[in-house]
Amino acid sequence: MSLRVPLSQAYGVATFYHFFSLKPSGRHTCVICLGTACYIKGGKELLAEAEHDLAVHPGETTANREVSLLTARCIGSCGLAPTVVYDQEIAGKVATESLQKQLARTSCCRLA
Amino acid sequence: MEVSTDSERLQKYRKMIVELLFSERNHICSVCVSNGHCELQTLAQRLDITHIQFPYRYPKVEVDASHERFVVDHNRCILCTRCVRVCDEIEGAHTWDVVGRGIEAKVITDLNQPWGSSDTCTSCGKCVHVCPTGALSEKGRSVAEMHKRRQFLPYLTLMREERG
Repeated sequence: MSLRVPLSQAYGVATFYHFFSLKPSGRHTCVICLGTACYIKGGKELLAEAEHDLAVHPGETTANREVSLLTARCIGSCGLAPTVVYDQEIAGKVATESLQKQLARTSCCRLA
Repeated sequence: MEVSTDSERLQKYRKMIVELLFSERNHICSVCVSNGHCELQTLAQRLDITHIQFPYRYPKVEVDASHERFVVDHNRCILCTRCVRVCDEIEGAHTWDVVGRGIEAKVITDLNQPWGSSDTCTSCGKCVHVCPTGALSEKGRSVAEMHKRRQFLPYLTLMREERG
């Protein structure tokens, strides 16, 4: 009650805004843009690949708490479509292979 | 300036909005506690709605009967948020609020927990009586037995204002 806000209101706000999460996030984040441009340029294939590689659905974190897989409506870098944001860093014109590589690198951290 | 509030086009849009409300969740009047005393039903009758032109979504939503005296049936909720407002503005408890957004939204008590386990609910029942449909009802009411009593509301607000 230290927020001095009713419980239900706090819960409502936390679930309304995408930047709030009720689940602990992973050490790394991988945001795949699914805006129109990215979607057309292969965003959904990238998402399918990431879902397969990490064995999680969007909005979830891998069991070892290493990577959170997220999606975005549009990150405003449509010229670079399809885009993926790894730990706040934008990668443009991402191919499935480079996504695989990046995710594999994250899994190296996981082993270390 | 001439303002028209009852043109054919407006009637069409009104109908459409009410039909969308019906198609969003599971409003089955014949088995509803508020059958015959429901604002949504009355509205549909007034607008001559005989069928819904949109496909029903048939969402799977729960009924929470954990409260000692009241039941919340999310199937009948139209998210008008009257319960949220009366609980916050009149009762002052703010037990209700809306969780999520868009089609996922629903009303919750406290931290999305069963109503019966809510610490803030005073069991005053104002939410039940302002609810326009059968979403909130008194426990033990069967089909068409739930009459909402709303006369107390203007009286309550008047008394509060006078005490200032």
